[in-house]
Amino acid sequence: MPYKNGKPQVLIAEDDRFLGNVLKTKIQQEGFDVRLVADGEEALAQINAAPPDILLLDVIMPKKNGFDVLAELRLKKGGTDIPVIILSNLGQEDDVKRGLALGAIDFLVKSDHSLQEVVNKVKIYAASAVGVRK
Amino acid sequence: MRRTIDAELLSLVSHELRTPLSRMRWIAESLLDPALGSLTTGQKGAVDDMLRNTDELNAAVEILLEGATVALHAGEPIRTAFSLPYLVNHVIKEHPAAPNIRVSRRFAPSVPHVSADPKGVETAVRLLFSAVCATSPDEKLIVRIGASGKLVHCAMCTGKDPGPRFSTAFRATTGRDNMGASPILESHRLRLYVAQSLIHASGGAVHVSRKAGPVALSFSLPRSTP
Repeated sequence: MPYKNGKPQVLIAEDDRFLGNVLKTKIQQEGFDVRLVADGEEALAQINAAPPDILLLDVIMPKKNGFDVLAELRLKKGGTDIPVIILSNLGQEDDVKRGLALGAIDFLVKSDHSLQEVVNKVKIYAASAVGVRK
Repeated sequence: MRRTIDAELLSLVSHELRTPLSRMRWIAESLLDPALGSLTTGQKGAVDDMLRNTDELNAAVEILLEGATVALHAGEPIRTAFSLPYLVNHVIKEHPAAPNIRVSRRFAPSVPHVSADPKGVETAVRLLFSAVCATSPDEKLIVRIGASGKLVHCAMCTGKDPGPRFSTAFRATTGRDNMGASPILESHRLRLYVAQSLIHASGGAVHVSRKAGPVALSFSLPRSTP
């Protein structure tokens, strides 16, 4: 089985509780095991405790923003193996460039994507991540 | 500096405008999710209407932001030497290799634009050069300078033709068509000069984009000094 516990692990770092819970529920319905954290420091702690198969990362968060989380993650051993999708309401070109330069595989602007589109992205990248590990 | 502050403000404003829109959109989509139960025809119509209006408002916000972005970047490019600290902050620091690069921020007043840790400058120039000439940033850069101090030759150690974009930059910088042979100089000052030349030849802005596995890396240099 390519996944621990038989299910792909998704970590959502999202400080908006409503959006985070809606997304968590939707992704769980697709058969993923989902953890939800509300700040950047907690995200890094969760990654240290159990690296997810995919990380959905907000940018504007308390304690540590998503860009800083991503930069720190890339310095960790194995950190580059975790596909990171930035899911933010920042959407200016400079913000997108910055996220991709830090190694995010995709940058989704929340207001431009439906819940189902986000979930579809997670499924696609989670599948390709397993392909890489094989 | 002001442009940077304006850009950051615009980024923040865009975030604040989009946040309630994304909430509204995702709430409406959740209500339509059959897993939560069915809606009456009237309820479904109301939620559809909410979604449609959210999309319209989102489109209006995008138009406003696009207009503000265009206004922010309006104006003639300033053809002066670019600022190294700005380059370091906006290019090097955001590059994945940044943790391996140390850059000194102490600048000798007598040596404007040209004082930094050689590794940082070298990396910056290699990235810039590779973008302009469409070559690999890992290739070694060789530059040659004429007696007048002008750039006369710049190529990769593999001897590859640096490409038409570089030729254009070369002509614009030196006013010459031929890249003649001169002693090879590899000081970081010279490499920075090459970067400056390339930036000037590009109208003060260089867009860098390359593929690194599945990740597209791209960034832009500022059009003017801060």
